Amino acid sequence: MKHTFILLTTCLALRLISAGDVMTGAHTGDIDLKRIQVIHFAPDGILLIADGTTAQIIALDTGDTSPGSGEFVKITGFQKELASRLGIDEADLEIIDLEVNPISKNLYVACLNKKNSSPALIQIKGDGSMKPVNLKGVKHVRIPLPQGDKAPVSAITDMVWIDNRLIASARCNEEFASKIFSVDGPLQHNKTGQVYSAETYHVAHNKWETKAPMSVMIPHEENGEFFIVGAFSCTPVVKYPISAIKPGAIIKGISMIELGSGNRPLDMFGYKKDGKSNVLTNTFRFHHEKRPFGPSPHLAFRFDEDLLTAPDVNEKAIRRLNGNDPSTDKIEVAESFHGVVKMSRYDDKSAIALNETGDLLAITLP
Amino acid sequence: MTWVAAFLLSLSLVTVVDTKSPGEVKFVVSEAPLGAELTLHRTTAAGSGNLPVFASVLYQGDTLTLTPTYSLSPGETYEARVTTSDGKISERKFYHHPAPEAAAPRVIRVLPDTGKVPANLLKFYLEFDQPMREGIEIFDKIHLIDLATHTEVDSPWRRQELWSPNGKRLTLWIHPGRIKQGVNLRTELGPVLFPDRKYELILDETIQTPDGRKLEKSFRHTFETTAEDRTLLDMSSWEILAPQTPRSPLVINTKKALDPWLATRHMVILHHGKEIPTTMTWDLSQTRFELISEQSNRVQSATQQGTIPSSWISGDYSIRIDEFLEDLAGNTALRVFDTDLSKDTPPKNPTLERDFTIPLAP
Repeated sequence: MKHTFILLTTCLALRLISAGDVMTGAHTGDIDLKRIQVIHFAPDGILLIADGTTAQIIALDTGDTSPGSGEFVKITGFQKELASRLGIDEADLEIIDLEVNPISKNLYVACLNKKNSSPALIQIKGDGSMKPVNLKGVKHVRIPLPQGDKAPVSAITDMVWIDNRLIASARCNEEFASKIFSVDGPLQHNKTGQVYSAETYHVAHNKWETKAPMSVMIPHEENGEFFIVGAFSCTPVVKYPISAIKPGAIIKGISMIELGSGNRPLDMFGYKKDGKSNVLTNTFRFHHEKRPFGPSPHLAFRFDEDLLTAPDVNEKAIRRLNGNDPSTDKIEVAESFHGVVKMSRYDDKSAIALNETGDLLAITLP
Repeated sequence: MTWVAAFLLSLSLVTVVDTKSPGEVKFVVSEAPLGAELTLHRTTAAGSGNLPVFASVLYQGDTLTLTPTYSLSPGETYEARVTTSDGKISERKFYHHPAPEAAAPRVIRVLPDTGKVPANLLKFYLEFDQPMREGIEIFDKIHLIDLATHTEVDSPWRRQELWSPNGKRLTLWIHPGRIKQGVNLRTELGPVLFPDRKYELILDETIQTPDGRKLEKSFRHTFETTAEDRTLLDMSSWEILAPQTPRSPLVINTKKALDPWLATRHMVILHHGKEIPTTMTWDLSQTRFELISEQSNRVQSATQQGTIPSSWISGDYSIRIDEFLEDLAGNTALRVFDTDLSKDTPPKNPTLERDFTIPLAP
């Protein structure tokens, strides 16, 4: 059977989902955030902001919907500059997440001021200018995260918008478990969703298990069926059919690829190049000192997106390495992304990346 | 002004205004020259060379009002600067944003505090007396020493920060990849803890609050390990001791140490099928849990009449747990932590609820 597949970049999602579907009955008022754990753009310039500390996801209508393009200038010493604009030392700043608005191409940066334990959300334009994102008197909806006794969600690790619903990978402070939070669109103010447990086959140790939270995820479509594709520490890449996310279900992931043990995924996105669909994921290699894969513990892998449709799954899933040698040319270390700490897809040609030295720059995709 | 500690270094048109909201201050320039700009810069030992902080400036005639977008940081000094249209700095005013006087932070306790733990221990809870500074570097300040060899255990932590909402408790995970059998990490690095050894957990004195107050001294927590525990929780073996008076505790002896913070959520008391609000405490062994009823009950007897707050009444009760309650190694009543879901079948009839009676004297 011939497989067709589509990596649902947010641009594509924009075409598949009408703008009005994202939220309805938006509230106008101030947004109170204690932390920002992850940000993600839904269609129509709606920025999803996850704050597990206050048990909420905010969908903010940024109004930033004028199409943009062009060059994104390199900001040498970006991290230092941003710290200065926040009135702190660079050591007091932690960049939490980067996200390019797929319409305007402006970059949104979520960060933490460690000096007073407060978040900041900054918009960076292609010319390097930066300004705070206004959170006062703005149009938004607030999605409370379930705080029932049984399954409180205290952290969101990533979010996607797919099949007219918001799906987030979630976890709680005390449990080492994989949870998926789902809420149907259009999002409504103060209306929550459901939390589901997920089971995953870990290729690296050939076991089905529940005790592993997902680090990053992207949307994916295959033969008309929607999936989310997630990556875990050590580093299985797993897909979950959206159709399985329904009340009472335990969602079983299908392990497709194993990128290598000792890595923790940080970001992931899909893109097309020369007619081929690719996925790029950057990771932190906590095994770097013992077994380096490059000059930096921060490294990225590119793989052919068609590996996500391969017939061999779970215990037969493809591994990047056979011993110390590459097992396939469909997976490779993306050398131009060595040292990248955070990244977000800009377009099919480049990503905006924060590197280990605190510079912000566009890097050509492999 | 009630709390703002501002001081002038020169006679200036710039004034500092307390907005009555802690951390929020406004800077106002009256009679500003035409085209002048007002900016705010943090000063450091190197001077005021920092870029202007994010702020909004309201222009009303010749009055400029600057409001910082984000709260100013405690203990920092800022310079409000008026720059004229020809680029010259015409006014400078320095403002020191006060840091609250507060004591050095303390470690209240480290859990488990059971003395002995299974070698496949999953996590610690580090509890502080005040909110602590976040940032992934905290994992470099927490050390595990094998006292048999007096060497530090390499890379023991899963470096994901999980703070309680009030910032006072950090859940510190031992890397699960070094606990699960057959995982490459464990194969290559070995387990973090070995059975029958003594270890010391050390928290550096450099662990600090957001505003930079450090621990008075490093904190040391010593414990011993036993064999790895890969057995299910068995609720049928628990000892349940009914309270003897309306205000005395229900005592549950779980025989096996439990994760107490999970127990507060996943161990509940039911009366006529309805959950009774309780307050739970536990002893150092984390096997003895005492539950005080938080329910008010109407009492009508020969000796007592009226409503007694926080009380038990006679009757039939049950205690219920669920699949999320864990022991120290992450084992539950349904699955051991290190489960192979394709091979290990869950127990057919696990005990998740036990009935008991409270027979209080009338």
